[in-house]
Amino acid sequence: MASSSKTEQKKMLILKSSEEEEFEIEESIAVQSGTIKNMVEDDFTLIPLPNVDTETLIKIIKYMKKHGEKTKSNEKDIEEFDKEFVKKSFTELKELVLAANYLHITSLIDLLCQAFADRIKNKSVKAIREIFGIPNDFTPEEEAEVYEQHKWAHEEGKEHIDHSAY
Amino acid sequence: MNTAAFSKRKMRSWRKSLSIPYEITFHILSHLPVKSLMRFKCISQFHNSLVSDKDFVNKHQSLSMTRPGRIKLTNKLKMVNPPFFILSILINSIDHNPITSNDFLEFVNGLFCLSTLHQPPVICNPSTREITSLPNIHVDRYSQCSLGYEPEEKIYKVLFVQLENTRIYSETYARNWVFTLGVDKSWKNIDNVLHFRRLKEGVCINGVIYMLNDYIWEKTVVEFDLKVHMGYQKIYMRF
Repeated sequence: MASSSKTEQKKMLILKSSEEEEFEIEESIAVQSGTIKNMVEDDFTLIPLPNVDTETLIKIIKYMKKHGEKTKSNEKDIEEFDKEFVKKSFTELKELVLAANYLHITSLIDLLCQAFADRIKNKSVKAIREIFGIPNDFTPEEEAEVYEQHKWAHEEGKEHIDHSAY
Repeated sequence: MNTAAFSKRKMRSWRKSLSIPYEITFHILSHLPVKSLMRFKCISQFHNSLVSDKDFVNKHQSLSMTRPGRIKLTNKLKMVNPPFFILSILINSIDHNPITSNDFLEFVNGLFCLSTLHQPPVICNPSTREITSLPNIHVDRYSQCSLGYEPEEKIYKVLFVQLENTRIYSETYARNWVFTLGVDKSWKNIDNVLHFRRLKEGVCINGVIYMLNDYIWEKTVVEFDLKVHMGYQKIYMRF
């Protein structure tokens, strides 16, 4: 729709968290989420997000707002923001990555996955199971076999293995 | 008790037990170094098979190419002084003679193939420290062993060519075998329709092994298509 008006009427959307709290956001920023973009194309302005709780949604909106104003000059600034953004507990990161996945925000998924990878690479197997809630479905014999096959990976530099689940 | 806070905590602990979706696990793991991945195979059956999955390995490898600290290895290396520390350790760990300057080492898409006289070829993965001897096959001075990677099916195949009559002026009949890593239990013989004079070492490009048929008066390049597999060979060009 062509408009000769000089006033910029930015289209606003309302995002509703699973706890029914509503947040207003510019459409141009919200469409960084593929899921939201699809709903906008189907003419939604009130976007219910039953899979995202309020706390997580606030963080996501903060991310999208920061990345929405990306220009050539503030790249360093955004890099710093991203670095600080992932300094969160594993629980928070998990919530974020589930939400980012649901919302199809590619850059955020990439950022979070890289952050996870960096933080878990030296962790012990037990710690990983605890962090992600993964049950051990190996029998002791099976696990010993897999361990033996790649013993070097467990033995070499094992003093550097981090056993904490945080 | 604050009921709103309580139900919030209850929901959060329920959410905690929600498992990370497959794509996210795949994504996270593809950013990890190989050593961590080898350890994480012990996490669960799912992780064990995911780390070895062809598509995962492919994704991980392409991401590795973009990371700093990678080493670019040339395709063919003559072993003068064994330059690869890890390779030497691995070779010594199996029943194999130490590497000498008569040996031939080939590197294709992350795997080494070591050809030694009178011993079957050995395949080695320096990242995962895995090493395996191929099934017995007679290797002499007129054998030519070539490792290839077929990118569509994401599998490795070893082509073994044995020239029969080795008098330098005569054309000689060649016998060929192919071994598909992870699939075959023994070498598969392939009928050959071409004759060679002297075959020199091959190069694998995009699923096809090219070898030089080197003779005094003519040189030709022969190609062996790993995809078509049951041994289609042809003269590619004369020069």
